[in-house]
Amino acid sequence: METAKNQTTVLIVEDEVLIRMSSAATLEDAGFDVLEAGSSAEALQVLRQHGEIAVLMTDVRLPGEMDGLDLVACVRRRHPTIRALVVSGNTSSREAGEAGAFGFLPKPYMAHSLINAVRKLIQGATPLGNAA
Amino acid sequence: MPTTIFDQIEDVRSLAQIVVETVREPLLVLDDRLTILVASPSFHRAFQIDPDDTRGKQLFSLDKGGWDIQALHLLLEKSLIDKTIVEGFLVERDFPRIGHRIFLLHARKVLGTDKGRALILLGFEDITERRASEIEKAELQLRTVDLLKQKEMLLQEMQHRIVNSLQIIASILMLKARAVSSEETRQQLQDAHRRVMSVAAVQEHLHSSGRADMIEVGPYLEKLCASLAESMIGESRPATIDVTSDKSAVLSADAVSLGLIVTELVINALKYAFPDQSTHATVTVRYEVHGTDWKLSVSDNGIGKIEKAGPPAKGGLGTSLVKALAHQLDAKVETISSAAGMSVSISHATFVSRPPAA
Repeated sequence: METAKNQTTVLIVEDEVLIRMSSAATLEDAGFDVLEAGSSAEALQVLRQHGEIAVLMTDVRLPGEMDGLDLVACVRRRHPTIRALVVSGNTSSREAGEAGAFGFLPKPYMAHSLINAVRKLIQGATPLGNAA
Repeated sequence: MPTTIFDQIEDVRSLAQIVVETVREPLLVLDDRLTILVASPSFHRAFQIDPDDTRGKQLFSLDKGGWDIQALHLLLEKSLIDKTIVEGFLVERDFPRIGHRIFLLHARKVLGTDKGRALILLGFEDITERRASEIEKAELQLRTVDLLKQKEMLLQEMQHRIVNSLQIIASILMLKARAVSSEETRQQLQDAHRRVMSVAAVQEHLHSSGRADMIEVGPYLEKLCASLAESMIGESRPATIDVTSDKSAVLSADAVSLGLIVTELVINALKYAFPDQSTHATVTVRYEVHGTDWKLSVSDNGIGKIEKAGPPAKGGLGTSLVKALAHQLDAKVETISSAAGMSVSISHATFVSRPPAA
């Protein structure tokens, strides 16, 4: 596994703590800086405090009134430079694209799939919802 | 002068009386002042009114004014002005003694020979029960739609729980693999992680196909092997995994077994078949179908099985897994090894006895 320092900060939003921990460990091993949040409300707070975040990785089902797709749409409006990766077990790539996501990773995912998905976002993926 | 049947009947009114007495649905014959000339026995029974209380009475005065119904006024004093027939006029009301009823009224004006004189035939069709059934049916349909929506939500919730649970298991294995210091233990935990993902791939295929029971073998094995390749193949271990499959769908439980077998054999091949990195390492996964028979094979162009001196080695966990899963699939395992590589095939064949030649 390549471990060159990417100096890219990823915010992981996931309410299942073990999934969040292993995803964070995976991305740290791959050289990313990682921040974590357990809900959309917490994620928005972290985003306000950390302007260096380049990638948002979020589950769809989150506690509280705002789900992951709502969070992606909100981030797209407030922080247009941040690229969102949606992970989910029962949402479609189309729904993720409609919310403004740049990538979609179905659950359950393996470590290398997560790393490749984040790298693809950084390397210049276009939004899922744009055909052109 | 020829006679007709009506000439033979002394009183035409008697015929009409017979018709009115026979008719099943409640029927009234009114004059143009809406006085009841004749009421059918079925009318008396349906509305529980004494015959003496109908003959010669003004319709709207029946039951002490209980029949002074706006709808009846509308029908008889307005609708029939310009028309001679009105069909299906709805009246819904609480009637004395019989309670809430819904009727379709059918009215027909019969013009007499005297100008201005007319008779009105007024028939009553009781649709109370029919309307109640229609309402009940509509409510049942709404309830069914609601239940189907609930079922869909429950299925989605179940799907979410399953994939999250599998992800949690995979996460625990991955965290543990990262934490151990022993490389051998790490490899075993990573292999366990891959096995869990092999099972998870079935769930993902079921969800994406929208089916609850059957899995297309070809796409499933292609995706599984692509994931294994991404996980295990790199610059330090160059190899390719080729997948070919006949078009076939299997039960999801069988797909899990096939996936676990392929995972086991591909991991083994990638780990042990190519100690010399210079060869173009290829692992081939093939699934063939002939009627009810099928054959799954995983072959490589590696160094083959190395036989060591001494008693034959006991198979490891992987070998036991493959044998057990093959047995569960009612299939046999065959291993062929040479210097050109190794092939493990799992075959399910149905044996049919031929009758002895005469």
